[in-house]
Amino acid sequence: MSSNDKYDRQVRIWGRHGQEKLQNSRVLLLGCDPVGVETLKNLVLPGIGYVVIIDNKLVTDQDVENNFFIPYDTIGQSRAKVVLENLLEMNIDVKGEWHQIDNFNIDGQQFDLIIANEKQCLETKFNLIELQTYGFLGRVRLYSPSCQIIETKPMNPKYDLRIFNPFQELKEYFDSIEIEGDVDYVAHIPYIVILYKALQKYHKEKGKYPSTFQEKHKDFMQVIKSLCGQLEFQYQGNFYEAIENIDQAFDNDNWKNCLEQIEIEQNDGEGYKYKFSTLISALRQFVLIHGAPPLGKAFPDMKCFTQTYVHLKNNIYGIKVEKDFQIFKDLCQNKVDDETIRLFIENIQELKTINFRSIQQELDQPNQVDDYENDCYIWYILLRSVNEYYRINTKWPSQNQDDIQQLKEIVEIQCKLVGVDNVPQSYIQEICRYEGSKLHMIASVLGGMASQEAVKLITNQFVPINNTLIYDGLKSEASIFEF
Amino acid sequence: MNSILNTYSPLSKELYNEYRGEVMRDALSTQKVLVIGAGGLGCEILKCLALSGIKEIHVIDLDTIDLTNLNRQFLFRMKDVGKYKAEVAAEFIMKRIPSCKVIPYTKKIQEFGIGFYQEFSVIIAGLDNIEARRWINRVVIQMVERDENEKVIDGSRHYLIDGGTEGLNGQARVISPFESACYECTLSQLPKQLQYQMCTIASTPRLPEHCIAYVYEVLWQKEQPDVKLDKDNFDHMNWIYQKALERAKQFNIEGVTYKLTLGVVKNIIPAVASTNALIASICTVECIKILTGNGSQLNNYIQWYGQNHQTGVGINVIQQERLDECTECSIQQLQIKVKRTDQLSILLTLLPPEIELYCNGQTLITNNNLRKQGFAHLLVKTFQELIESKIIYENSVLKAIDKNKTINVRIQYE
Repeated sequence: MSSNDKYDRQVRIWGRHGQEKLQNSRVLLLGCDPVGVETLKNLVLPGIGYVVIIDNKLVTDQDVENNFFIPYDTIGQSRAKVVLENLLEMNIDVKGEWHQIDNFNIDGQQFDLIIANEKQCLETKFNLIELQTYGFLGRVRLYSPSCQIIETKPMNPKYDLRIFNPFQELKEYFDSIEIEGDVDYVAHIPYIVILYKALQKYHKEKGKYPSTFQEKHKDFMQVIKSLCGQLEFQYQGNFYEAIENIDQAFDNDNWKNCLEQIEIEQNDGEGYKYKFSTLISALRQFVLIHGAPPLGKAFPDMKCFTQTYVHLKNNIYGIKVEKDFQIFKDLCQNKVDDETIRLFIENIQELKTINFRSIQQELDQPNQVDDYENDCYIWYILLRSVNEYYRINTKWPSQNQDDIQQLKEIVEIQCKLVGVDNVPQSYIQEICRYEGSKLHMIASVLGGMASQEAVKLITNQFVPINNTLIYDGLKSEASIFEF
Repeated sequence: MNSILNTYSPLSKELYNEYRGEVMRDALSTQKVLVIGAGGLGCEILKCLALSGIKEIHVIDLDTIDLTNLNRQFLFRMKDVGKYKAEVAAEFIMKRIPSCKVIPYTKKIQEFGIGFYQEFSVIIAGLDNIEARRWINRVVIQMVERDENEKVIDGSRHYLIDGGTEGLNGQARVISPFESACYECTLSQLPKQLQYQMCTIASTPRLPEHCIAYVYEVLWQKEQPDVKLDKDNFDHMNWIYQKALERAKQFNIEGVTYKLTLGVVKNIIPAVASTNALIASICTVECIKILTGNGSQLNNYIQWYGQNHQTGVGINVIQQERLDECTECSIQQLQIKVKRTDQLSILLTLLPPEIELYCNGQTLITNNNLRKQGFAHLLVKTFQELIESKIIYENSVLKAIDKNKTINVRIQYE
């Protein structure tokens, strides 16, 4: 055995603190369709805290056929009970309860997430994932009353190295170094120094800093190359690093865009939302005074001697990080814990907030989509149409002529609503073929997709989709829309 | 699934609409599917196949269950730790879905002859390494038989569906040999493995990872030359951790932990239930579509990025192209008829001169004068003897190299 933590492989994705959030969260599942159950399965396995399952039906043959967590010897029993027992059997860390009822009063309850399948849920107080599978098709719809993400976790994180605008200690360090000396020395000058020197040389020669794309990527690159002089090819590793990281040389103002987009909702009290708005206010003040955000701790590897690297990381940058932290902390006026402040500062370059349209808003008037690359938009219109058909007829349309005719009329209305001329006849016929059927494999695809989003909403890590994902299993395509 | 298979589908293949209904349902329930790997992807694939109406599934995995599998491999429990994955998974599926037969194998995939793989029209692979993927890719290519006009013989083309995950990201592909890009065609597109330079880890370490890599790659060999490093042995891993910690301290580097040590040495890839579920299920959807002619096939590679800080999720469907110079799927096929009592040396007269011949990586005939003596004893063996001593398998395809050109040699016995 190599690790005594059964969650090791996922803690490497969302960290100890993410795991703790997961283990302290409560999830409500409305309805026991395969898609909802598959989603919950992918939350029980990683150790979600508490689950509540609401379903008023009894187990039928059909459930046994398409739901893995409903065994064949449970026909006639409460679906909610059977599903809960079979899900919790997988992971002893997870607790839960079931209710065989139709309507569940969520007033006075607290949930970190509601997963709704089968029935619509218009709740706007909690995070919500609405799910539907229909034959080979699937739909995931997210809603969050407030979505502010500190840990957006980009695949290629940006570093804030202040090469363009070095703080005093860094500038003194840069100025104390010359790119000359013996081969071993020059080959171990950190690339950040090379970029700084290249900027100085460029400015000296041209009287300005590179600004256009051509200047930044061609002319400036020539200047970097000129700095390595007669150095032989095999010793130029650090100069290549400088070229690879050429964008680091220019003012890194990603945070400005983020800060402009973020609107703070005034609110009192505790919790993540309150902390977030406090942090944003503090950041605005900090920037006003210092002209730049507080410096983050992240420092990339670069080819250089060990002592140089440790000195840069711990002393030059490290001391500035600590100084900025203290100032920033004072601006937060004890409203936010140190750990969150540090996390916030680390992620200032990529903060994100999303304002979700509510499900009611989408029902009334979905956003129009101008260009779409595959069939997913057509399927969205048709899924709306069959749902509307069901609302009127309390049955799903089949391939008989009357059903198709009635569905066509509904499709026309839906097309007008979303500003589309019409959808091809063959697609209407295809969707009538499904007649509300729920395929396990499609539910399983959707369950995987939805549970990724669930973890994002619960842990406040990564960026969730805004707001709809349509999966077309018939052609193996998927797209995201904001409806 | 069954009720859908009755209906007319304007968006599906002709084949489907011709046979929809009972014939198609029967077809689905008589097809056998092979699943390679009973891990994160495998467990999900088995579940999805069984609940889609497949009645016979074969599953290969030689691994045993580890504690860290339990966060996603949902057919295993704490009490199963240490048992064979394939066996526990098969038992669980059959208990839940008694109408489905699951046959487990706990051997290496390389130990099965081509005849074994020919029984499955679709092979789904949930593997965790490149070598095994390349091997099974080669098998589906070698299984393709051609008639005298070089046309592919019906039923000899077997599909390979391959999935993989890393963290919240994953990908799946459908390989139809000689029709779409094979795994080998796309090998150059694989992301480069992160490797630390030896001069960095030896003389100018900067990151905690550098210190760990030094102990693992240099110090172990130097200080414990007689002990083979076992990455699953706590004492071994702890030794590396302690030494790395010492080295880090010496260089004033922070951040060496036991967890990081495991990550670096074992090259641990983060894994979670959600990503496994969605990739495995996409693979199953492709399999069911192949078997029933529903819809159209994934063409031919899908990338899923659950980690995307701009749009939340990034989805790319890419049509990967066949490579003209692919060493696997653009190679020539040669069929040769022999008697079982013929000696291997008969091939010297039937094949071009100066050829090298291999079977599953083992040399049979060489053109290298220095090595010829060493393989001479094989030349006088009959094909029957070679099969009995497991040097070649009943339906093996031999690989011949003729001046840098690769040829598949299929032996047929009269």
